[in-house]
Amino acid sequence: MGNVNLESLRKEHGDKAESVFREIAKTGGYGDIPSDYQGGLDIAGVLADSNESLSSAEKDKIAKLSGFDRAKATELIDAKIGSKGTPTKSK
Amino acid sequence: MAGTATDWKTTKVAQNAGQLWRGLAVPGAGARITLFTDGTPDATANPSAKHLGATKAGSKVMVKPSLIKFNVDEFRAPILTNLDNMEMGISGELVGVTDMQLMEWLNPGVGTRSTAAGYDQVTFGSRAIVYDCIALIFPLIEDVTKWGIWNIYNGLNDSGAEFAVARKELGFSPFSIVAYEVTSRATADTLGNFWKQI
Repeated sequence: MGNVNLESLRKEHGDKAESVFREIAKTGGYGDIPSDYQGGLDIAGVLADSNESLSSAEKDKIAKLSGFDRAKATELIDAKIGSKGTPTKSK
Repeated sequence: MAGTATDWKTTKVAQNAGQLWRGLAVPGAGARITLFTDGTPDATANPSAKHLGATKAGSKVMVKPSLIKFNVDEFRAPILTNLDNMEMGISGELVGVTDMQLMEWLNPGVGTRSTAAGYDQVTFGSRAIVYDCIALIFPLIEDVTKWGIWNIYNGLNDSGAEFAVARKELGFSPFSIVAYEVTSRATADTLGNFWKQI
């Protein structure tokens, strides 16, 4: 919830966890983060409505792969202050 | 014609106790680490977050580009510049030297922690280097309900560990977190960020 790492993805995706992690990292513009990094990837920030760096399709993809709800991400991030302003994501 | 309003920025200052955190979830494109209302990392988004503890005199943050200057014979001053290197980091001295998780973290590629009944230890040799997402979070003077965040996406301490054990002195271990670029992120966003809530 709000975070994905290899362990959490294994519960959902089994043997495909590593490739799912890589796909989320690539789509979300996280960069080449090692899949075994225990801190994982912050999902809430990229899925929030205020984030203009990702398209809606990209957010839907990450939401589906991570199992994190976009509306919940928006509630978590955008209900708080300081969520606006986005750099451009390189492909 | 009229004058121009001054802006002394006397409230946009850093003068408060900060919290150092490691093991944070890496934020994606256009995003920042997710905080809870108390300024600590949101536990759901950052389940592996660890507080690094108290410091001797707070922390010092830095980002420093190194620019190459190009000269031509006909002019005395440089005519062009380009970016050579850049550095970003956080440094200070940590007090919690007998915390073995901290001691392991202070020694990337060198220290390995193990614990069982009766002991908690770090052995020193070699192991795989693990990078970390690290942040210094501090309350703002301009609005004490809001927070400033200095976040390094991919960093590690390159100072090792060194501390005094003495009766008249509290042992602090200096740290210097160096940021390493995360390739394939947006080019303007590969090292980290500095942001504040508004």
